[in-house]
Amino acid sequence: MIPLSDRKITNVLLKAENLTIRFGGLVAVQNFSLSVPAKQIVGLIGPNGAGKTTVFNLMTGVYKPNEGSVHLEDLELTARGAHIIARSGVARTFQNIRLFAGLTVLENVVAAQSWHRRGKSLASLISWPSVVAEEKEFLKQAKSVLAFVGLSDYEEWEATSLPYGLQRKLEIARALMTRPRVLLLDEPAAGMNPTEKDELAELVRKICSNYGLGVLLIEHDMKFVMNLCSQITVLDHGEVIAVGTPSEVQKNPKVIEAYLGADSSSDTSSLDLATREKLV
Amino acid sequence: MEQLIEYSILPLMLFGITAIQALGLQLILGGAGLLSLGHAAFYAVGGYSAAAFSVYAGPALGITQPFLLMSLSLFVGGFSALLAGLLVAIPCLRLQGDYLAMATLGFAEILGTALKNIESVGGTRGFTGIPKLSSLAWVFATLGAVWWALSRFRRTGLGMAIQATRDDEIASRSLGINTYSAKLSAFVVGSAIAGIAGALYVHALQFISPDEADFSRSVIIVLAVVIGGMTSLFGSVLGALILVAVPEALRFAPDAIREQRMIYFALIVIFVMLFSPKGLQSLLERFLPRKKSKIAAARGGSK
Ligand SMILES: Nc1ncnc2c1ncn2[C@@H]1O[C@H](COP(=O)(O)OP(=O)(O)O)[C@@H](O)[C@H]1O
Ligand SMILES: [Mg+2]
Repeated sequence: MIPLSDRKITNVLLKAENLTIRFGGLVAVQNFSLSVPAKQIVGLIGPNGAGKTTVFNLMTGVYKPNEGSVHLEDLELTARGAHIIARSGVARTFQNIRLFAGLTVLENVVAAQSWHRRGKSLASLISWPSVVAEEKEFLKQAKSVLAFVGLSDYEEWEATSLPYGLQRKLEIARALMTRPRVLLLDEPAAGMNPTEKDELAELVRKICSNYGLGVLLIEHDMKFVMNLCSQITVLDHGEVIAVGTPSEVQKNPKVIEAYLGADSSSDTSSLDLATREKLV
Repeated sequence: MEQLIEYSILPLMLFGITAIQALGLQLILGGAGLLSLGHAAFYAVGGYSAAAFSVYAGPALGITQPFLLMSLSLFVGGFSALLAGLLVAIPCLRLQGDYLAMATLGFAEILGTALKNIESVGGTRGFTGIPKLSSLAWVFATLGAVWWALSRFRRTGLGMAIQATRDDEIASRSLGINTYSAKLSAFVVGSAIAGIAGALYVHALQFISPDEADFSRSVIIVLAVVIGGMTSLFGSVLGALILVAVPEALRFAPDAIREQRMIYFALIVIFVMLFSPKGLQSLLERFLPRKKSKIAAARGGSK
């Protein structure tokens, strides 16, 4: 019989250990550790400026950590180039949407797998039949990913002319096109109305179960996070202040304090963060 | 009549050659969003290398058949400009920040000075005695081939990577695109196309001088691309047409007017920026219902 702890370890896809980064005198993230298992949605929450996006940037190679490491299973990703990390199977979306403004919706997704066929681009200039076939195959995949997120009707639109909520979905489609094993979503529900949020939650669940991906989710909407995530890590001032299941985290006094400010009473009873958050 | 044909061949050739240069710069400027202020220098590299090949190397190797010599000259012109492009771009693109514009400018200066001091290619007098291998047919066949290849190139994996890198480098890298090699490829392919244009030029005029590497020549190509419309191949060719046609049209005007061509170009640029910031090509599109953008159609349809 395998002990529970061992089983957990073999299941882990993405693992960050003791990440620290300083910008000048500011320690933006300190001693941060987190694991994302396959087929699970893990949440990363915390007040504004806590360092959540910085954690994503450390994991995806936008920033190099001063200390600590990032692994995808046994593969060391620490301090690798961002494109190498992406090719290894870690994809992400951005809090401030970063679509390719000069490209259509379909082209945005097609561009995301351009490196799969990069070496063949001279041949594709001459349109070898096999290359044309490959191009068609990639186009088909791009279309099916767009259909998966519900953007089929918008293929020929300019990406940045899409409504806000659909732009967020397009970023997800684009990330999926790289065939990732782990997907990092930075506030994917920001700016969405309740219906859109429900659709998005459903989509994230499908990504997790259909594609078998591990998902790491930053989100301010507590209801959204609590419903989706199996594990939650709470960050405040660059440090992890709590880790646990949604109900554990909700009860954690440190978390309550971080969200309500130091002046709040030492109310240790269970807290509905979804309603409390609105007070902040 | 014959005189008229004779007379119009040279401007037509110049148009074709300028259009090829502009297509090369369109890939760099419009495709990758990189500013090259030394495009004419790569054109000169191609021109001088191709001339040196057909004057010295070709005969030494026993190649005299004109078609073969011209074909090989095009290759030599393109390849030498590609190597020069690598030399200039690798150190610049490795660094963060926009050093490429300055480096290409510096390269043009250095090249001009160097060419003036190499006697075997004519020094300040220019390189003469180059065989006449090029023709209107060569120029327009090459223009057609380059145009076709570039329109195809856009849709390849590398072509898409270049455009994505132009629009957002951080997002591109997060999707696995090697933005450094995307930019480098765009720059060297664009420079190589300028080199091919140079090879056509020297074998048409049978002459090239160090002035061809001059900054003012590079500016003209930048203007052609900007005036025509950075985002399209057709726009760059249209821009080249205007940049060649304006001085031609002014040929019989008094000297005082003719010598101010930069002022006319400046006026055209101001006009374009005011009325059609995306270039004349987009202005034309407005009047051609057939070319109405698919995007607009899709938007109308799905509302
Ligand atoms: N490139 C940077 N240079 C300097 N400070 C930075 C940089 N990136 C992030 N920070 C700082 O790190 C802290 C955390 O920011 P961020 O990760 O964006 O927070 P969150 O996503 O949790 O709202 C902020 O104080 C921010 O100013
Ligand atoms: Mg953030």
